[in-house]
Amino acid sequence: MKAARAIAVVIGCLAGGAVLVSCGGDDATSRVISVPGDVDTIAQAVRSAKSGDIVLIAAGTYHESVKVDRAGITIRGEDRNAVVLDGKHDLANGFLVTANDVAIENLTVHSFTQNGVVFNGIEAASGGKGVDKNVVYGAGDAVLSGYRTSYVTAYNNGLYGIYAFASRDGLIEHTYVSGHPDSGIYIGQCKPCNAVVRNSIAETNAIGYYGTNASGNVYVIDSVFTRNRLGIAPNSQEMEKLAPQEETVVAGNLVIDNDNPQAPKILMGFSGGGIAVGGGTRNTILRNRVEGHDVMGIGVISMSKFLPENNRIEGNVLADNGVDLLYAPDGAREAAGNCFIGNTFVVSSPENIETVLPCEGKPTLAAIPKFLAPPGGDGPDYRDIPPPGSQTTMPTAAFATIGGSGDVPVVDLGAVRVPSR
Amino acid sequence: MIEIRRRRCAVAALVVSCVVGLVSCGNDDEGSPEPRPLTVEEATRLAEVQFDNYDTGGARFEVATTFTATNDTLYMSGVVDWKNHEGRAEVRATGAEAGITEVWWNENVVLERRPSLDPVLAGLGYESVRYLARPPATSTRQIDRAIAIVMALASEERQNPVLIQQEEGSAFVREDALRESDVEVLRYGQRNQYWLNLVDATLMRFDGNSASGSAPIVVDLLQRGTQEIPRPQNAEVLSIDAVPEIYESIS
Repeated sequence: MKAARAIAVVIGCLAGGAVLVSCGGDDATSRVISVPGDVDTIAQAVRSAKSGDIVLIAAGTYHESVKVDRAGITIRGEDRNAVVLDGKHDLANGFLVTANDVAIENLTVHSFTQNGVVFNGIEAASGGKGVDKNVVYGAGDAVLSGYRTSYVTAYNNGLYGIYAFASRDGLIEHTYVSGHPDSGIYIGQCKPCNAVVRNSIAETNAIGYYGTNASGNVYVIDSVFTRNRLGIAPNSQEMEKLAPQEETVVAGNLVIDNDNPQAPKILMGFSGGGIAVGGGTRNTILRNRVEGHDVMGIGVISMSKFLPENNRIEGNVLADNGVDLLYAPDGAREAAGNCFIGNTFVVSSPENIETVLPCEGKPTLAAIPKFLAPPGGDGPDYRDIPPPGSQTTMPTAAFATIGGSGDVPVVDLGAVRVPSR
Repeated sequence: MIEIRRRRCAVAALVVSCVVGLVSCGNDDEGSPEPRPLTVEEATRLAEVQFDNYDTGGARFEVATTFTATNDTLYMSGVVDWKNHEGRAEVRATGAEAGITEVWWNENVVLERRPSLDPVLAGLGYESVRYLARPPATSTRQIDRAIAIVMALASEERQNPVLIQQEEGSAFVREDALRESDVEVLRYGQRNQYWLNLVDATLMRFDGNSASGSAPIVVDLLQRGTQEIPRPQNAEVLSIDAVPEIYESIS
């Protein structure tokens, strides 16, 4: 990752806007390529960009699917709500990123058949040659390294809003996702992932955040997950490589009313959960507020053949859930290091969950409850979900002078607090 | 095991093979170029196939399959409504399904037309009956396996291209021509091939096989779009529970 340069602030780069101007900062050759000022399309601008450049998009609606195969660039909208990529339900991805160190900022992407923004580690690691069957993508050097979305709105895309697959060193921040028939934000198949999701909102998706086999230094923090079918789900599955999932921290989030029948339906699984750890290992669910779920608030359950192990559920505040705290891995016979401590709750299964599954001392679990996931029920076509209102646009003070994803921030969990409603 | 939700990766290939126990697929033509890994664009087109079919609503189709262990054959020509999970087809079969000339189905029931039974049923007082109704039995009935494969060509969910790409066996096989259209033949997993129109990426043909290689099947989609599929009148339908001995003797 490039060090710190993404933090530099020179608004002139934006204001100058026009013709391949050389901007200040630590790279005198960096340019701003304006769309449509310098070139007609975003794709043309990307093709002409080189590392350190910024593609600056003026207000307007663009019917483009942009493949980003230039490393170290930033693609920035001048106005988050007025720079719109519209896939019109016939283009696949808003941005298909296949290069390292790319940032997407301050724009809206919607109505693509697949993803709003996807960072594709197979393409990055293989150089576009496709899968080498001897390579496990998402581990070692077989990754896309460095990615960021900031102040991006993604809605009503056919698969995911923001998707990082086999990618490492990522930041998803100030991002709003809604109306997706799968998850709004998805990090999958990476180890270690070194990824942070923060200050984001996931609303009216089938699932807010999904993290299949996303392991190692994954932080989902200080965000809002509301009115989805399911809020947050780090999980293990055989369908992706690098199982089981390990070491995600879910902290300081507002997780509210994720049992929304007006969200796209979940075709296989259940609706009505706040945070579900599905067959994951060494995850920490810390100081979240989890309210209003008809099935469960926080559940530690099995997924596919995977049993949860050594997960710590601590300091969360729960209310108005069918069951606030649940430990019900199908097929497990013991605590397996999973523990609950310092949570505020009313109903748990098993009863007295912090006593029988303590984080300090020996577990005294007599029997593991059965959890029968209720069917998710029907739901609207994702294409019919109402679009979101305007979202907070990126402060000009945050505009970097040089393109690229920048460093992944260090998370101070000590500073994370239970959010208020 | 409980599942939060299952990853949407197993695409049609695995859906098909899970439903009907199929696996293993057609051999490439001798002399064809070596299959190569799918590009992300090819995988994306493949990922759209099932959803596109579902979104289209239905299609006219033809099925041809041979069960090599027994030399049984089965041909079906009909219409399918994926959104309502219904279909109807004319049937020609030898072997296990011989005698069936027509089927109608939905998720819960298969109606068989067996003209040779008309006089038998009439003799029992069922003069108006033309169809016998039974539950689907994909694990034991060849015709139900074929129906399941036709139904599995559509899905409410899109698939995930990156998971298609890394599924072992997935490959670009070749370009070809089919019914006066240029197509690309893409393989998903080890056994299932999808023939996509090069112009609009619609599915024109699916071919697959069973794990043992003993049940190659070809499904041609001929005309896509909403289909009206009339269900036989109730008076024409009799449950096999009413005539278990007769049904057992011919099935």
